[in-house]
Amino acid sequence: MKRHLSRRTLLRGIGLGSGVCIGLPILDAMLNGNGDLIGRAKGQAGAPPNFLTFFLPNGVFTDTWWPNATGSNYELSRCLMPLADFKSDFTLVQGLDKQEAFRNQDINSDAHQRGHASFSTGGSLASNLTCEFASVDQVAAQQLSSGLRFKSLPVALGGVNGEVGDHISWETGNTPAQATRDPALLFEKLFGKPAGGGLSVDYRQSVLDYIAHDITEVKKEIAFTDKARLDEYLTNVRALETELQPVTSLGADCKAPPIPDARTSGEPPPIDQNDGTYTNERAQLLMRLQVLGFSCGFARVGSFMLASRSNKRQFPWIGAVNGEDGHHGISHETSPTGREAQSKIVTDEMEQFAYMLRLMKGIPQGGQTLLYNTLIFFANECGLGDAHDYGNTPVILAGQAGGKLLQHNRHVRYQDGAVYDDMLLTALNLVGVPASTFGVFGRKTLPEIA
Amino acid sequence: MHAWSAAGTAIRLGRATRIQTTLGTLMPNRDQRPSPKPIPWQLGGLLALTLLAGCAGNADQGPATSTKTKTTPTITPPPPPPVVAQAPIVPECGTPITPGPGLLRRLTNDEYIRSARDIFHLTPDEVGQIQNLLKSDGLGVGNITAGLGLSPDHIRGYLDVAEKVAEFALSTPERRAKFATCDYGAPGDAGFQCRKAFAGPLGRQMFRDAIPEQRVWDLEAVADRAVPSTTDPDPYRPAKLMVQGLLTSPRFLMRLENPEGNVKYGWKSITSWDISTRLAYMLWGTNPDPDLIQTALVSQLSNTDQIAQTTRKMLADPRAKDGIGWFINRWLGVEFVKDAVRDATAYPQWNDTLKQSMQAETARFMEDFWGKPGMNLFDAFTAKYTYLDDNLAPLYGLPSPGPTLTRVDFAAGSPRIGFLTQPGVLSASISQKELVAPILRGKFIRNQFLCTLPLPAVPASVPAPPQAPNLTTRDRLAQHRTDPSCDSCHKLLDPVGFGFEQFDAIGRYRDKGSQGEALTGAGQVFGLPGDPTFTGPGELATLLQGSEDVSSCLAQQAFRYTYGREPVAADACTIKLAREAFKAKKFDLQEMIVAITTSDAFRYATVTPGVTP
Repeated sequence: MKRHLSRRTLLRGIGLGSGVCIGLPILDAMLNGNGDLIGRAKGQAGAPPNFLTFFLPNGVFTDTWWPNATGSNYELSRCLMPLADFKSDFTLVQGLDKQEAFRNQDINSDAHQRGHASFSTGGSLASNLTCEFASVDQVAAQQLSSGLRFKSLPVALGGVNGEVGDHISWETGNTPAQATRDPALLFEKLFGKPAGGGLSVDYRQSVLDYIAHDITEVKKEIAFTDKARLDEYLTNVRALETELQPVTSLGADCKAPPIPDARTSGEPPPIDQNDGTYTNERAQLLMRLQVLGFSCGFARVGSFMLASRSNKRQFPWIGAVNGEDGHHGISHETSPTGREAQSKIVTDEMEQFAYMLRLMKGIPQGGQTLLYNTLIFFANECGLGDAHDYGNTPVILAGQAGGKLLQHNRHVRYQDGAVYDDMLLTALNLVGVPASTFGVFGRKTLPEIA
Repeated sequence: MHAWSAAGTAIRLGRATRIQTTLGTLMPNRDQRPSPKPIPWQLGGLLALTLLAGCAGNADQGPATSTKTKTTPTITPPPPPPVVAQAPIVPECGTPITPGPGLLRRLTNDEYIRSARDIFHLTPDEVGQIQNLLKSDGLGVGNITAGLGLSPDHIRGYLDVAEKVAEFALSTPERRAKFATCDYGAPGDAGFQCRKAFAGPLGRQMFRDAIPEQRVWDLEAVADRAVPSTTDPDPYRPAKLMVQGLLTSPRFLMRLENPEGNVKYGWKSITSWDISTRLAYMLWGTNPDPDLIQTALVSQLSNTDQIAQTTRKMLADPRAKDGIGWFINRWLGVEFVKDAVRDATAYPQWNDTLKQSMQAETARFMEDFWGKPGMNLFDAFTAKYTYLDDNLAPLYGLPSPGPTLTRVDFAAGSPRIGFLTQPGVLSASISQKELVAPILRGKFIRNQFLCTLPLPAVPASVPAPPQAPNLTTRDRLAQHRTDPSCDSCHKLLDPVGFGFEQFDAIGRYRDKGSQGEALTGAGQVFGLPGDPTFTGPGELATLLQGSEDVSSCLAQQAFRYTYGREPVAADACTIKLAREAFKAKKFDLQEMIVAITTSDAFRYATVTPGVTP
């Protein structure tokens, strides 16, 4: 009788809140000298920095976005005022030309899909559904995330339409890193299923074990079919097995927050129905959970998409509502009223970016803060929104990257233009990834930055 | 897809005569024969000769009938690679047909839920409980496999659904008895044997293939994790875990194909099993049912007559509404109504109930043009009636015929005609903004019916439209035509969209615009022969109905639907043949579908020996 034996030790233990202990000890190899789970970014000397990308859609109104002065200690523009408390933690960069957005003109698409596709992949569209290359966060994750529960935490506020503009993070050109958009799911990923939800025993590892074995068998059986999708399924089954490993203790930096309530939970609809789904409250909940993912040592890499153009986010709390076209419609209204609404929206979005900075700066880590140990690459999909201008795409670098990027409180302006991909390459090097090229055009780091 | 099992035996229906050959144990019947592993042509003198003898003979017999198997192998130099015959030129194309590769497609969420529903006899309430647990890939993806995800979050969704379905499916003795009448939960060997009897046939149906004993052992290994205890006293947990394994296995979640045998023109055959799977998902949007599987097993799908007969039978089944019905609604874009948003103050009637009625109206209407053999699909462009209910009638300004969809004929002189003026089709295609409605409607017509892709690129800097408050929509958009950098693209869009200006954002008719101007629906379709002008959707419908481009475009959409991928240059002949059949049979959609399912592209896959495509 030939029976399949489990290929690996099945980890069973206390899932947070699941209330069941079927006891296998945590293996010593998973603990460091302090008895903490390995991978916790406590700012230990030599620990890699964290890396986050942060995305806004639909561009800006240049008059209210770009400050007049350049150099150090410049006066913030209207839209940047929300960042006033963090001037010493970020650098504003002007003049970056994102030429790669224009590639592959044979693909039927609109400008915004290009803007999204080129946010951090170093390339453009490969089809309406995919990009050309992996995004910078996923490239960094290959190195930064080894040994951690999560390769990355892609998070987004908006829902899914089923096209390239739904994503900003790409594991490969073909495969997006699917963002978590539901706060309840993000909670569950980080801290396990709440008590009372589901069966008394968590059998998921058993089922995943079976699936992984079955995929391996299928791959042997199929001779003449492309197996890439099977590989993708297998890779992600293994990733989920890692995610589902229970965490037995959280430590001081890491407290499981309250379970998100039903009002702010669930998959969001693909378009902002103006019914309270795409609110700042929900965005902030997602940010808190994501930052906990960093401070608890579950991940070092993440991405945050505050909205996509196709989500058409509405802003009733500041009186910026546009039919059903939302923010996108407003970004194309060139009347003074339209410009004013666009400026209000961008300022409101920068309040949310400030929220992220505040969260991270408020978490002490090894004598510094989580923000000090992090590099954030922030960009809008384009510059002047109405013109879909990629020639001057706003970028902000925030955080000190663990000490590698100390010079902030600056507005760096490249009068003659600079290569957007060079900025992505610079960011990669700042987090310790020794790349010498990135994307189609990135060939050198920018000395003014690092 | 067949699993080679040299050591074990396969659980199969039907006879199992075996022939010992140097290749191992083979089944003589083509559809019950496991796929041989690919053997490089450089190796194995006699082995290669054996294969060659089998393959170079009658193309429909395959290597199993080789007579060289009893000769003692001698050392001979390896033979030269076989000359692969060229596929014949197809006269209509001027090129050969090129079947695509064997497919590996993840089920869409709808297909997954329907398959689970049908296999496990789920109630509508149970379906409602699992429907929203799967991670959405968005309406824009459709069933194009490249857009269907398999991320860890997706897998969490599958695990959650599988857990619930297992609970439902085995919750009562009556439900358990549907799969096996022994005691699943009996201790020791009795329970084990019962679970084998339960998993075997179920696995065969779910994996859409013969299931070797080893796979049943694998499932028992999952079942073993659930030894009943005080924490989980459920005696049926082992069987439920098997169900969870079945539902999350790649063999269920994905449609796996392993084309085999018959190296004809460098092609391999899609097996009878896999043909039945292709038919089931294409025509019904769900798993093959036991009848269809039986048909496949008795090899009734190995020639075109059998496939044609089965296709027609499946089209006559009500389940075709979920397969072909979905495709037709997708062709019209009406599914996108689900995502369409309208301002609640301006359109208080815009809600989920109204959206459902809109989709139902178009679906019911279109059934009249594809649901029976001998219909002309393109009559739907110009039919002068529709189906209304209480929700829809106010949009038409007509008295309601009642709470359920009832046919209503249009009076003479009505501006309504065919599906182009149905509120679902009108609403799905546009924003509620008057200014952009003509552009988006024009783009919709181009996309859905004329396959006009890609459009010229948007210029780097787009000037603002005029701000003067008292302009008509046509005047505001005039710069699209006068500015050459705009015109190259917008001439394809705006003049088409203007044809619909008499219909508002939720499909109501009006004859005056925002400035009190008379709306005429005057438009033009650049790119059709003669760049014809038209007035109103009725005349546009007639233009489209008679356009070669529309039937070609439909054939292209049908290709995308059938194969779940974008066509490449090599697919041109496949698409052309489908379109020619459609035309030859006076736009009978059922005949086009039969032409597709009996075509070489459907029944074979192009492979390169030794190379995975």
